[in-house]
Amino acid sequence: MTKLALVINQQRCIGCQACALSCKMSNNVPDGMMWNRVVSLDTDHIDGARDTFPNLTREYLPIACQHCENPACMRVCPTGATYKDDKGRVLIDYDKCIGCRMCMAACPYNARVFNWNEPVRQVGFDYGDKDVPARGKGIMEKCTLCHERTDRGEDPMCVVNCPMRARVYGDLDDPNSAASKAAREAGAYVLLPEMGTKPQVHYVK
Amino acid sequence: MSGEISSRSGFTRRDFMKGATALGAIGMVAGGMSTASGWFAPAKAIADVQETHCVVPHLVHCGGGCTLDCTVREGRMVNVQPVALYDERNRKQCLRAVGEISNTYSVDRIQTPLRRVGERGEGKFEQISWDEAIDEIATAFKSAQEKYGKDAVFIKKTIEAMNSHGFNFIPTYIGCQTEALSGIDRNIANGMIPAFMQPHGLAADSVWAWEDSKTIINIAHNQAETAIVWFESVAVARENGAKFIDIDPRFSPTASKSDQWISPIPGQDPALFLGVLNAMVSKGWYDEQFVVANTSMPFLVDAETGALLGDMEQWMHPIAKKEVPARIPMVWDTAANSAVVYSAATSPALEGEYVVDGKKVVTQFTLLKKQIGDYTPAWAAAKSGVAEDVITGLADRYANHGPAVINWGMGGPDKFTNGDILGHTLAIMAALTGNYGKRGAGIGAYPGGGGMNSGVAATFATWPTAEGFKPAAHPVPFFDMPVKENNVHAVMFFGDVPFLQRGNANETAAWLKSLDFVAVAEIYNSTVCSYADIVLPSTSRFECAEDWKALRSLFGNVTLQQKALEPMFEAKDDLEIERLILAKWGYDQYLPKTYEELARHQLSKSTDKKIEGLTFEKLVAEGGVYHIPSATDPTVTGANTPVLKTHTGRAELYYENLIEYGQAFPQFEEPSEAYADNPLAEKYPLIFLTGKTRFRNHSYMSNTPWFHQMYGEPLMLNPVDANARGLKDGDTVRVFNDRGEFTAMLQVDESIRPGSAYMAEERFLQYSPGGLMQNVTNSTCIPRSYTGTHGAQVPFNDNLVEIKKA
Repeated sequence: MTKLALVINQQRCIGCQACALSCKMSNNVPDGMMWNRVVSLDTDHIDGARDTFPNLTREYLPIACQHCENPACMRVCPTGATYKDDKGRVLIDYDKCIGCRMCMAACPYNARVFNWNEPVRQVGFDYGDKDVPARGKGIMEKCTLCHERTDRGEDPMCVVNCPMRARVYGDLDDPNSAASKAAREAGAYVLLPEMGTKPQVHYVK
Repeated sequence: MSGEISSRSGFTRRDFMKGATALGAIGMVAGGMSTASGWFAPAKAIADVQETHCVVPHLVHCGGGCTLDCTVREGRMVNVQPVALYDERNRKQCLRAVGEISNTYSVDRIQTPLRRVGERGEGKFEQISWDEAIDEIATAFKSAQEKYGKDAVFIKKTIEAMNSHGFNFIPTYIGCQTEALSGIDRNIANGMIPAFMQPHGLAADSVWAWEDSKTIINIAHNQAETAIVWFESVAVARENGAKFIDIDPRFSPTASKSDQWISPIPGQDPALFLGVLNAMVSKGWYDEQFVVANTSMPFLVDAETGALLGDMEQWMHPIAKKEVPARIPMVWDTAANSAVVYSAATSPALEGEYVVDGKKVVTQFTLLKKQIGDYTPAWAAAKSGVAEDVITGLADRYANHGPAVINWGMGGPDKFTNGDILGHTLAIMAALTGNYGKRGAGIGAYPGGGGMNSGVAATFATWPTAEGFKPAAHPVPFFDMPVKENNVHAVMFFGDVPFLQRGNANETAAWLKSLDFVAVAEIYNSTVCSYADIVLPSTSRFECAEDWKALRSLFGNVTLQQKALEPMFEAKDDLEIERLILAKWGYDQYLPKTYEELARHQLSKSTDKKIEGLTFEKLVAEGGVYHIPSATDPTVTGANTPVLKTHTGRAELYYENLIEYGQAFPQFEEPSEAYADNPLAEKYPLIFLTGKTRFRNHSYMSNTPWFHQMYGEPLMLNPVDANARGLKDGDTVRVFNDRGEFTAMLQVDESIRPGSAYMAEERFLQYSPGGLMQNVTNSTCIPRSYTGTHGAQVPFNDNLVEIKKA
């Protein structure tokens, strides 16, 4: 089997947002929407600090679809639009999506974004990978692990454009892949394990 | 002031931007909902369309110097990623490269030549033709030169405008004034350069050499947010066991990636490090043998006058590039029991008082000990707000635990009047411990990945100047023009020089209004445009009328900028703009006709052996990127080169020319404005600091809607100061002092040191509806500053303000 995933090294992550914006660019994500974002934990501010001056910490956490082994979003989808593909990715068949947003409510990671209106792009044209399909009003969307790119043998754009090389893409079922090795490092963990979703995206801190 | 400009500038755009969204868009961009659809061709289905890839060198001013692989589809830039032709370590870009898609197609593009129709500063313009615009500029320059003299015209480019193109022909041919870099962020460098002769205070080595460091003392360099692509070197160093110590009043993104964060009171960095130096010297944490052999510490000083002993000779200053008088110093030779020329001594004394020709003399080291004797860690703790044991610990870590680096950014303490004292102190620390010129050790600014050694970059030939032409003398630097007598009456800026390169924007605006004529060539509607009589639309770096544009050499590569996009609207390339203006004098004949002709000359006439045989054709054939064969490891070059270019070849730590200022050795001095005991602090108790955000390069990219969707441009205060003023998160606040005021949205966050306020530095006026941040910043340089190698430095952070709810 194949289980594609990302492993993100939080020690290296500097919260620069390059992954978030590269994702937006490559996947033609419209204004006001992000498939991937970097939050500073326990604060409402971008780059906010936690605790009290001068004993401060800051923890950046890039968050997108966790490509769960047991996806909560998939279980609630009434049309089968959300599915797990043969490479272990959670994907959306846009033609089957009816915009009910059950998946959005079910996802514990708030990883899905919805086209409430016809998408608007400030620049006035479609950008990013030419193979990424268009999504219109009423359609749900989220990280696809850049499947158009990766199926051509390229890395996801968030990995290519990470200036800290904090992100590793690969197959967790291949024990020799860089991702698989990174996911077995000390300090590797997944988000909200208690939800039983079994995320494939791993973090290392 | 700014609110008016913000709304009125829509007047012109409404006409020039096809589609009804124009006026609304100006206001709505900040909310991230702007659209330019209808402005450009509408989006279409994209199946089976042709894509091309273009090599475009990106910004250098952030220190990044990335080279981009831009995907172009149907004439539009749709994807940006690092160029594959670079070696692995340099194959990088940051979010700003991605943001260029949003920025390039922003509503703020200047689209046609414009002529002012209202008052200067109102931002009212009408569209005119290129012919009319060039005519008016040439007529105004000729008129000013006839009336007041040739030096009545002043032309200056921003760093990016200069570096992206590599020329500034007009001043030479019309004989007017011009200027390169001045007044910005070389204050620490000014204090360090006489000791080590590193131009701009740049480090000799690359950041990649930090992988062998045990300690990195990082002062006011928030590279995790600024020179982002180089920050991986810190991760590598830390993974190898280095201790990364960050010195910054603010808990910056870089601070949160440090092993130890030290927050001094802003402007008190010199006190902090004088305390560190005192601890090192008093505890004997220095290498005596090394100090005797490699520094000026044994040199003798007249105890009464402070003058160095020794004859004078003429010496070619390696940075000033001119002959200057230099001392041939003397030392006390204990073997001969007499003073001898330093190079002739067999056993020079490091310490002691002696009598030479009836005069009492002392060694520099004895003098230093006396001079810094009072700057104990306890004293430094009281001044800087950093605990005494932390100061002593910093000294111990730096001196006693293997190779160590001192790195500073360009900003922070540079923007206080006492920044040179910090630079001087740091130089002495490095010299006493030998922490320079060896693998894993170094001192300087490492903003662009470091490495001042020319081994990493090729030198191109310059375009020849026709016989008999040169620019006018330039006696008053730009930042002083509004306040010092000078003969400038007509100006032209390529980019927003005025509001970026000096503080006190109200003063700057008044000066611009007082001039006979102001012209601007700009890509975007930056603040200075509102004050121009004529605005010319420049192409962005992604556009060119030719297939290939400017040459650049960085990090072991030569790159040739490729056209990604056709010039938008009526924009023209800077070379064409200069040619059109000089044609009015008939001098365009002396300029290259095309970028290609210039590049061919730069390559074919280069005497640099590293690129011998490199032709334009070869560069094109290699896709615009050529790897310099001799630069096998382009990021690690200066290592193991302890030869200093000072007069004596040693670290010269005693600054004889500063005796009159009491700074031959560093002596603590408060900042000019921002310090606790300043009586002004009763009225304006907060120190106002500016810094750089990842969402801009200075003001460039002010108008990037993708970024506006993520970043709200807050003014930041600690909860202690916010609560004391009854302010809460999200409030609109008024920031003010005697120089001016602005309003901003407040963000209350623990990352700000109590007693200070922080905001990212200037963005365009239309995104600053409550006025320019620069309205409150300090523009007054102190007299000592003018003696520095890089001239006086504007103290942008040396500010006291008060903040109230607007």
